[in-house]
Formats: sequence, C-alpha cells, structure tokens
Amino acid sequence: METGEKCIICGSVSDSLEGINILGKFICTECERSIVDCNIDKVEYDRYKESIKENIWEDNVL
Amino acid sequence: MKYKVSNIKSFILFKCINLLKKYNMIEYEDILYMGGNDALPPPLSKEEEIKLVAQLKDGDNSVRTILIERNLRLVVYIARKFENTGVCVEDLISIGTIGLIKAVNTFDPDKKIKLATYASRCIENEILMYLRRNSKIRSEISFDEPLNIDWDGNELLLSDILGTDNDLIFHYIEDEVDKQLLSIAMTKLNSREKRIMELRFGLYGEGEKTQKEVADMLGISQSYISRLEKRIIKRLKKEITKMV
Repeated sequence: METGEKCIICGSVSDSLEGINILGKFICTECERSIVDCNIDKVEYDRYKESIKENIWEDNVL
Repeated sequence: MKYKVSNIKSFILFKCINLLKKYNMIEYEDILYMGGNDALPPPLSKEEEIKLVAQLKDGDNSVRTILIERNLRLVVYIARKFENTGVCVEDLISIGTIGLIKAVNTFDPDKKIKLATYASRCIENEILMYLRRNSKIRSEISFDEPLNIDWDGNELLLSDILGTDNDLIFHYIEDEVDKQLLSIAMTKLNSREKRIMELRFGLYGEGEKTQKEVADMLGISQSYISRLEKRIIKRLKKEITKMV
C-alpha cells in the first residue's frame, strides 16, 4: 500500500517527500521543475494552472 | 477625489504601523496585507527571510516550501490588482502561484535584492504574459463561429457570409492536384522529352523558353521541337486521363 504524499499535478505518490508542500498540497520535484521550465504558450501550462487552482486554492482558501 | 482620500488613509495607516513597530507594540507577523486572506500563513520577518534565503542554495525542499507559503499573500495581493481584466480571480491567483514557484526556484541571493521584490516581478510578469496570451486568443475567431439561427433553425456560420472570388479555394486545390498528376505523368517520359517540357513551359521554377530557343539549346530544328511538343502533350494528356 502506498503511504506517501500524492502529487497534485501528476498524481504520483512519493515516499521520499522530494518536492514542495503548498497549504498541505504536495507537488513532486519533477512537476515543480516542469512548472519552473514551463512557458505560458505550452499546452501543459493550463493543466498546471488548473491543478493548482482546484487543489490549492479552491479547496483551501477561496 | 476618492482615490486621493484612499491614498491619504493608506499613508496614515502605514505611519501608524511604523510607529507601533518602532515602540515594539506590534510584531512583524501581526501585519497583514490589506484585503489579505486570514487563512494564509503570515509573511516572513526580515530575519526569517534572510536566514531561509541563505539556506535556499542547499536545495532544501522545506525551505522552498516555507518561502512559497509565506509569500502567498503577495500572490493574492498582486492578483487582485488584475481583477478588472475579465479573468477570474482564482485563475489569476493560480497563475501568480506559478510565478511565485518560478521566483523561489530562480532567486539568486547573491544579487542583493529582496525575495519579495523579485517574487513580485515574477508574479506580475506571469499574470501579464497570461493576459497577453488570452487577448491574442480572443482576437482570433473560428470560421465555424455561429452568428445567428435562421427560421428553420440552421446556424448561420461566419464561413457562410465570408466572401471570396468564385471558386478561389477550389481553383488552388485543383491546381495543386493537376501539378501532382503532371509530375507523375512526366516520369513516363524519356529524359529528352522531359527536358523539352521543362524548358518550354518553365517547369520546376525555370523560365519559359520559345521553341526556337529550345531548339538551339538541344541542337535540333524548331519544326522538330514543335512536332515533339505536340506528341509529348498528347501523351501526357493520355497518362493523366488514365490516372483520373
């Protein structure tokens, strides 16, 4: 059984806690790196934006 | 006038905060962004930020986490400035968060600039780029955009009312097909026949030449070129008819 944190972007579960935690929501290092490297014109950009909106902001604060 | 009153109020408020801080009557953590959300972690004190920024180079995830979380109020504050752009605030805040993640990951402590200053620029830049991209997309319109519905319930599309010269598009497509067919038919010719056609009709980008010029180039008479040309054209027609 997987016990680690689930990345809100890629959905992978990590036991190593390699990544960042924003308001209790985990983003793995790979996805964090992809976000940093992602240009606004890339297709994935909207996916990152939507994941952050749904998981971090809508659930927690807004 | 309203704007000026608001500015004066802000000025007085900041003066009061500075006085309270000066006499240790409030802690740095007690100061929140105006209009900020209480559910978000408070900003870091100057000392805390210096300490964490120094550890940033070690690549510690927990340091990045703290720096991001403690600057989320900054994201909300900046995002709210763009509320009148027609993009929903949740989107703006999420885009600002991406900007903040980029800021924390690319921040260089050696540059002697405050993280908040650098992050503000990154957040604002990210939002501005998004707005620019969106306005570009908004100015594009699909040919299938429905404009209206007629009495029978059929949609009137933009493409229905766009005018072009008669058969302009079809002509272009047909020309392309003809070129391809001709190109295939040309493969059936021998090299001399091919050369005559290329020279006479300027195929493959070469300029058209007269029968006399072609005759001189190939060292044969003009009347022979004329006869060959007729024969070759007849043959090409036959080949193309077979393919169609």
